[in-house]
Amino acid sequence: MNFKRDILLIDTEFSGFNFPKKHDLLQIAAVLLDKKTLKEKKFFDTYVRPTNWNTRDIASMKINKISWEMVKDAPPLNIAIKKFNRAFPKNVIQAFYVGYNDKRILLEAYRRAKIKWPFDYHYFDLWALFYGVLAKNNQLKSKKDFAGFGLEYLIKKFKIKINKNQMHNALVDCRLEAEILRRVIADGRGSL
Amino acid sequence: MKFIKDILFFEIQTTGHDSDKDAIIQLSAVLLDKDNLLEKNYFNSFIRVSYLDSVINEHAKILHTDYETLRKSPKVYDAIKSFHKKFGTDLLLATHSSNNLWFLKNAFKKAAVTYDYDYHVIQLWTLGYIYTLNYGLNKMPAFQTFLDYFRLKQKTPYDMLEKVRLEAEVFRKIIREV
Repeated sequence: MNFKRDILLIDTEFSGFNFPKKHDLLQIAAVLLDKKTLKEKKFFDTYVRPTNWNTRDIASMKINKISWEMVKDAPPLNIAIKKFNRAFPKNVIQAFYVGYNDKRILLEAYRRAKIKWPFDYHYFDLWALFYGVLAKNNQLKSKKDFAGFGLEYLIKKFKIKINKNQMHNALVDCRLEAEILRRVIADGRGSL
Repeated sequence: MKFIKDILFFEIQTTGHDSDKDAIIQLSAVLLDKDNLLEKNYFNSFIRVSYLDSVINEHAKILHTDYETLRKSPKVYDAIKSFHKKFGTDLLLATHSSNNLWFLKNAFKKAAVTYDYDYHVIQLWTLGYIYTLNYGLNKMPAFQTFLDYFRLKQKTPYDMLEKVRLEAEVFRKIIREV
């Protein structure tokens, strides 16, 4: 499959959903996938120094497992965004896995860094893509997931080896989602 | 094909593109049955966002309706409450683009109604892009691209109920065909 544009798969970790008032963007990671082969061409990964550490949401922090030690010397938000912005070409298709919050927070981060959002406003939601493929092939079967599948279901289905303790690191998640995308496409039944 | 949940496609008409500043002035939705994807219920409402005559007139023009119809339409609180009550939350939301979801969430906030849908949402644009790519379409598709591809016609482009029904039809075709 030729995607016509390279795919920039992005993931973020944050200290809660109330960004920027109460919570922080803590990590930005991305992998650039070749439009023809889906192989990784480049990656980006940075932590971001928080300004609202004391008001971090405990439930979010349990998921992302980010400690003060990991972020205390990281670049501030505006520098991190500038680095991210310089790292990739803009003629790409952005992709997120259930990207509603990632995209919203990233847009706000660009606004605060006073950088104009340089990408197309469309983005792939990989979750929606996987949902469509599985639905078409009668594979929405996971009873514990709301819509019939989840990331863990796909990891098991494609027998992907992963250290579960590393999940929810933004770069690890990007690479995992990229691998699932490759498997779904290569599966032959991956075409909608 | 088998779906775990019914699917609620929704579409909106808004006063602009910024979900933080602009407002929904029409909300339309169709509920698709999880067993056969057929429409089993629908919702359609204009939303009055101001008491000012000039604003009502301006929004009535966008909606291609008249001042009096819009003036008598529900406020965002009532429209969102009806929408929420009519369908419940044990369903999967679906829409053409994620921007619509931002507007819907903000409307729930303005209406002080808890947004308690599952966080997974079917984004039709992603499915449509992959589907049309497989069949040789080279450009970044818009909704019209999908309509052209499936030979569907939108008779009244400003009617969100018609649009959401077409979105549901595009979804059926993507899932069923091939």
